[in-house]
Formats: sequence, C-alpha cells, structure tokens
Amino acid sequence: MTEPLLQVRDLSIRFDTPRGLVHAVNNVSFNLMPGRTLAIVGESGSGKSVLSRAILRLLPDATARRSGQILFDGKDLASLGEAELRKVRGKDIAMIFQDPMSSLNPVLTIERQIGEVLELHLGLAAAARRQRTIELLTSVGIASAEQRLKEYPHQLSGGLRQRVMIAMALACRPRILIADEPTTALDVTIQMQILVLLKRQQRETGMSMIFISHDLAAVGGIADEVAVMYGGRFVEQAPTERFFKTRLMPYSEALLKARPNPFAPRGARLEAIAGRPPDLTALPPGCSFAARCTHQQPDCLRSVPPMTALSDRRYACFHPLVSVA
Amino acid sequence: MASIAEPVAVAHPRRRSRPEFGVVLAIAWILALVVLSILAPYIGIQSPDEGDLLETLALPSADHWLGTDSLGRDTFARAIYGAQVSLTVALGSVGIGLTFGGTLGLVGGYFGRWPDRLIMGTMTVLLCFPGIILAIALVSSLGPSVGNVTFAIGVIFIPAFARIARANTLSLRSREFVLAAQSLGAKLPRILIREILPNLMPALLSYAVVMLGVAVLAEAALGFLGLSVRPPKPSWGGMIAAERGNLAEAPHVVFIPAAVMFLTVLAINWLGEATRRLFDIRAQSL
Amino acid sequence: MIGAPAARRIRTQILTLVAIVFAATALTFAVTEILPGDAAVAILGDTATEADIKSLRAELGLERPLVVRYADWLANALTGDLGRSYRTREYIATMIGQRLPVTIELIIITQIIALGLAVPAGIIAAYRNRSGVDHALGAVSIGLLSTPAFVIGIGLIYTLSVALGWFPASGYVRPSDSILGNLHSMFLPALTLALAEFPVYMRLLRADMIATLQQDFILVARAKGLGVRDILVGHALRPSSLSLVTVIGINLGRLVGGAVIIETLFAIPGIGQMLVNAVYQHDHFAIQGVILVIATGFVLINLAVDMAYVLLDPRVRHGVDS
Repeated sequence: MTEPLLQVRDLSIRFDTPRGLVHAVNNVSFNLMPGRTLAIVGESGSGKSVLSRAILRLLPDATARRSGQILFDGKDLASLGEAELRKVRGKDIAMIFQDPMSSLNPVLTIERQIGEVLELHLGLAAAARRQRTIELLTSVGIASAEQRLKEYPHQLSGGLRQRVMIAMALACRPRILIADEPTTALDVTIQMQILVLLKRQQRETGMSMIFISHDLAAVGGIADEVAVMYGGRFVEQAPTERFFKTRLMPYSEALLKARPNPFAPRGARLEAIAGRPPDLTALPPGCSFAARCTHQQPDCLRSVPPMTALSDRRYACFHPLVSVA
Repeated sequence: MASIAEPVAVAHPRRRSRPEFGVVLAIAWILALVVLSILAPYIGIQSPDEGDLLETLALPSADHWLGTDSLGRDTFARAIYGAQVSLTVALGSVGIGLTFGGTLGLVGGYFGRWPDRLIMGTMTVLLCFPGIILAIALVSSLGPSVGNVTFAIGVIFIPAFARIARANTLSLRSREFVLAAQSLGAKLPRILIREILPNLMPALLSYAVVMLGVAVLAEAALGFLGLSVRPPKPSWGGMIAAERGNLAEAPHVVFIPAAVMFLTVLAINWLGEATRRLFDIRAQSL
Repeated sequence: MIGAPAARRIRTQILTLVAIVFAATALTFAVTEILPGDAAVAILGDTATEADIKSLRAELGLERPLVVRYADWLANALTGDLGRSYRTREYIATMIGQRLPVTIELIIITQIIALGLAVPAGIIAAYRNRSGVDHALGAVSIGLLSTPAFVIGIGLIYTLSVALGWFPASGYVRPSDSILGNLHSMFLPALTLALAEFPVYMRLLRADMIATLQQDFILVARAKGLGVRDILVGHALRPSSLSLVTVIGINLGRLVGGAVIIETLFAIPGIGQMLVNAVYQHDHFAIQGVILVIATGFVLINLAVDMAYVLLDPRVRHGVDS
C-alpha cells in the first residue's frame, strides 16, 4: 500500500481576536494519496479556507495559533523553519485562489509573475524562463502565449487570468495543488473549462489535489474523495461515488438537498438548512451541528461525536442516517 | 424548512471610556497656555519688554523661570506674550480659511459647471505660489502686525479648505438624503445648510485642528524672517532669530523658546490625530 | 506605447498649465502693484527729493498703466529678457541663471536624503505595523512635524556644527571651486529640509503599503515561496508608490517655500533668498522673474508627475479605469 503524500494530524487553528478566541479549525485529520483529489466542502465559515492556508502556513503568525502536525514527505511542515518552508511553497506544494483579478499583481507583467517562480525554485536563466513560460501558458490553453507575456492582468478576461494563475502554480511541477474555490468567481461557462483543465493537468502530471468548494456540483466531476466540513471539523469523508449515493451524517444530507434542483416541479420549496452556523468563539460542548439537526438526540448535545470508520468512509455522528451494523 | 435567521447582536469594537493620557496632557498644556496668555497682564508676570542688563543670557532660576535673553528680558514672560500672538494668529487664520475656503468649496462642489471651474481655477493659481512666498508678499506690503499676519496666513489656507470642502461636497451631493430633501421641495439654502454642511463638518474640523499647528509654524517662520509682529513685541520665531548669534555660548536662549513652541505644536498635532480618529469612527458607522 | 486617452490628458495638462502660468504672473504683477513701498524710494533712499523720485519713476517706466507694463514685460520675457533689478542694475535673467541651479541642487539633494530615509522607514513601519519600531517611527514623525524647519536647522547646526564641528554652520561653496566642498556646505541645509519632509513621505508610504500588504496578490506571492525582501520591494512597493510620487511633485511647492527660510538661515545664494530680498526692496522685476520661474517649474513638475504615473501604473497607461 502506498504511503500517503500528505498527512494532516489533529490540526487545530485558533485566532486571537478582540471578540475572543476563534476556533476556526478543530482537530482535523486526513490523508492525501498521490495522484488523488480530495474535495473539502462546507458553508462559509466552516473553516475550509483557513485549513487550506494552514497547510502552507500562510496564516498571520501574530494572531493564528496552530497545533497538530502536517506531514509532507516525512517532514512536519508545522515545525519547519521559514527558509525551509519557502522551498516547499510554490515548488512541491502550490496553491491557487478564488479571485484571479486580485490574486495577480496589477503592475507586473504575466511574464514576470510566472518567471519569478521559475527563477526562484528552478534557477532558470532568462531565455529558459521565457521558453518555459510560453510552454506553460500554452499548456493551460492560452492561445498566442508569446503575445501575452508582456501583458498585464487587467488586459485579460477572468477565465484567462485564472488560467495564468494555474500556469503559475504548476510552473515547478508541484506534487500537491491546493485549489481554494478556483471557479467560484468565474462565469458558469468558464467554470467547466477550468475544471476540465485542472483534471487534465492532474492526469498528465500525476499530482494530488485538494479542492476547496462550497459547491457540491463542481466537486462531483473532479474529486476522488469528498470531505464535509462544519464548524471547523470534518464531519464526513467518503469516496465521491459512494458519497453521492448515500450520506451518513445529517449535515451532509442537508447540504446535498439544499442545492436548487432545476428539474423540481413548479412551486417546490427550496430546502434551506434552518438556523445559523455556530459561533466559533463559543462552540457547544456536543456536536456542533446538533442545534440545527432534525435528527437531534440528547447524547448529541453532550459530547463531540468522534470520527468513526466504516470501510472506506468516515463519519462523525452518534446517529447516522443509515443504520450501521 | 426555511426560516429567517434570528437577528444577531452586532459586536461593537470596545470603546475606550477614558481618553488617552496623551490627549489629556495635550489639552492641559494648551489650556494652560491659553489661560496664561489671556490673563497675562493681570497676574504677576514680569514685563516682556524691560530687560535687566545685569542678568543677560541667564539660565532658568527662581527669579526667571525660563531664564533671560541677551537683553536681560524674562524669557517666560516673552514666551507667554509670544503665545498670545501665536494662538491669535492660529485661531484667526484657520477661521478665515475654514469660513471662506469651506464656503467656496461647498459652492463649487454643489453647483459644478462654471462656478466650480472659476473657483477651482482661482484656487489653483493661488496654489502656484508657495505659501510662504505669498505670506511674505502680503505681510511686507501690508505691514507687520498680528492682524495682517493672520490675514496673510488665512489667505494661504483658503485653497486647502476649499479643496476638502469641494471633494466632500461632491460625494455628498449624490447621496440619498440630499435627493430626499430635494424631492421634498427643500429650498437651496436649506439643503446646503441643513443637509450638506453638517456632514462636511467632521472632515473640515479635523483638518482645521491640524492646520492650527501649521499656522503656529507659519507665524514662527514669518517671525524668524522678521515679518511677524514688530519688535520689541515678542513672537516665538522672532525670539529665536534674535538670539541665533548666541547659539554657541548660550544655546538655552534659543532652545527654550523653541521647546515651548515645539510642545505647543506637538499638543495641537496630538489633538489633531485624536480628532481625526474620532471622526473616522463616526464616518465608518454612517 | 502610450494609449490615446493618456496622450490626450497630457496635452490638456500642458494647455491648462500654460494658462495658469500666465494667470500667476499677471496676478503677481497686480499684487506687486499694491506694495505701498515705492521702488524709486527704495533705490534713492530716504534723502531723495520729490523731483528725483518722479524722474526716476518716469525713467523706470513706473508711470505707465499696469496693463501696458505687464504686456511689455511679457513680450520681453518671451524673448528671455526679464529686465533689470532696480537695485543692482544686473540683468534679472542673469541673476536667476546664477541662483536657480543652487536652489535646484538644494532641492534635489533634499529629496534624495528625504526619500532615502523615508522609503526604508515606511516599508519597515508598514511591515512591522503596530510594533515598537512602528511606534518609534511614528513618534519621531510627530516630533519632526511639530518643529519648524528653521528650528530643525538650528538644532542641526548646534549639534553637527558647533558641538562636533563636522559641517559648516553657513556659507556656500561653488561646485566649480570644489565638488566635495559644495556637497559639504549643502549637507546641513538639505538634511534640514529633508527631515522636515520625512514625516509626510514616510506616513504616506506606510499607509499605502499597509493597504497593499493586505491584498490577495501578496498572499499569492508568499504562497509562491518568495522571501520577505522580494515581496516588499518587488511586489508591494510599486503599487504603493503612486500617492508618494504625487506628493513628491506637489511637495516641491513646499520645498521652494522651505528653501526660502533655509537659504536665509544657512546663507545659501539661491532664488529663495533672492526672492525675499526682492520683496524687502520692492524690486518688481526681480519678483516677477522669480515668480515666472517658480510657476513654470510647477508646470513642468506636474507634467513630470503625470508621466511618472503612466510609467508606474500600466492601468493608467492603457487608459483603463482602475
């Protein structure tokens, strides 16, 4: 059995804020296998973005308190020195973000922004950098790449900019790509193209991917495994097909049901989830979803349900939807 | 089943109930200065004009709290009377700038088109001259006196206040409450005075406080060039200029008045920062 | 390279500003007219007779109507003849020609020192926002802002000249005599002005940098593995410098004004000192000439600032609304 590429163990992130200690991520553990895509889905405030930034330690040191381990290639990223960490960022593990307009520096050319990664991590000379940049732009589907080199982000459309971001992230052939809601800010038609592009890149390079999203539909086509996050915790994790067949945890079920169904009969109601996400400065003693859960039982309020394994799935619920023998 | 989320109490940033120590000090200093300079002739401060020639360039002592200058005149007394000049000039010139500049900016910003272009054009031409130059020209042509210095510095301030008033008026003009007033049939003066002006005041006032400090510095610069009040009347800049020659032997005669001026402007600037922060919070919650 | 909208802007700028120069000189002519002191009296002294004054005034052409005198001056000015000083009978143009480079040199050295101090300070204060260093720099800034330039100058004279003897307290050495001596004599005046401008530059850069550092593309730069220095200088500095460039241009007005005081304090023979003397002596042509030079200088500076914008921000270059 192959070794996992990335092992996150008991990761917790807390923020010091004027309102109190915000428990953004609580005891999250998961493994990422080589060549596989893990999708992390959840509402806003579930902690998924914080988690994605925590892997590369991009959170502000002043206010963020970390505990737990992030094992990559046998090294614990959580305890690595800054200089060592910089060698991993952009090279072994790369990241793309949600809004391509604000993620690219408006006063630097495309060539410069991609080139500096090549120079920093691969030590390429100017001519080699130029060559490789053109290759990269072409491989992400940007036509007339050579002309694009001297252009600035504001001269490109949203979809093109996201392709540039992807090219920038893939420049040094990372082994893991973390994609934080890469399609959310794009037009629906472009979204599909980007997803296809990411899938193809993954197949060609064999890299692993962590795909963060609040949109279950986008996730279905691209992920091998789905993890649902709520109140800073993983509450369910399963291979994609099995997840879309049945859900074990009531929240995952509600999330899936909450998607607007274009084929629903007229006058059908939208199934929203009642209540609000939990206050991360004061998490309840029991299951964080219990207050909104239609299947709530007394023991749900008393203690946090641990992650239970069931063949290749995991779930954190005292009373899962499907009775487990 | 869908349900409307219950209203949540919005968390307020913790408001400091006590004013900062620095602000208290600043207010105390300025108040002391103002009180002393108003009451100067009535309480027992020594004369700023008469000098004891046996006691020149003296260090601070019980008789002369801040020492004496090269003509034996009491530095403390001269500093207080100099404060009279500085504070009068500061308040007067800022008043001129605020009133005339604010009005011009309000008019230009609200009406636009040719009044705006005319006003802004004039302001730009005025700004072609470095402030000091204009002040020098005006004071030397009108004659040195507190009134003329106030007028000259006030004139320099007008374009700056006009610009701020205009910029803010422009953005306020298209806000909903102005449109609401207009649609209710409010007459022009009422709109200007009751709707726009109160919203201009925070920005203008916090700028005005900062300009008080600038005015004190400007008067000092003019005094240094000999263009403030006529000697032997004291002005802080004049005092420093007069004693410059003694810098090597008696530096305290130069630096003590400088320190008084420094502390005053520092106090004003401190208050200016506090005022700005206060109005920023207010503006954010609009 | 420059888009049409930007080129059109520049053309309008030039035209507007030429108009402003005319207005400024006309205004100055009018203002000097109200100077009650009489040029003729200033030249001849207190003992002059009525007849002498009258004939000198006629000779100097002071009896003609204001508009005629202005038109005459303007015509001459366009050919480079700015008249003669009433007092010294030298050609104004020559005097300006000798003194202007001195002031320009002072201003250039001032800006170099000011930016050399303010840019690193602003970057550090922004990067170490709210730390001890930031608070210290803030305190220094408020302190400098509360001190008039001539007091800063006197303070520097006392410490660096009187006490330590490293620099001259006054006086000017021509570069033709000694470049090193020239720089040596200009250092204290330039440092004085630079310290006066430092707070403004530093706080502006700091504020812009703090805003820039919160932008997404800085996070992306970190995710790429770039180090602190590369991020601060390579990514954050340029987008943060727009306000600074504008202020540098606008500030030149303050600098010329400041130069007046500092040139007087340190006995530097620049146009600032020339202007003050001219005003004292009611030397109309000298005043006019210097104002013309100063106003024209502003025109050019404004233009240069606009061009710098175009170079710094490619969005402006292409006429895009940012």
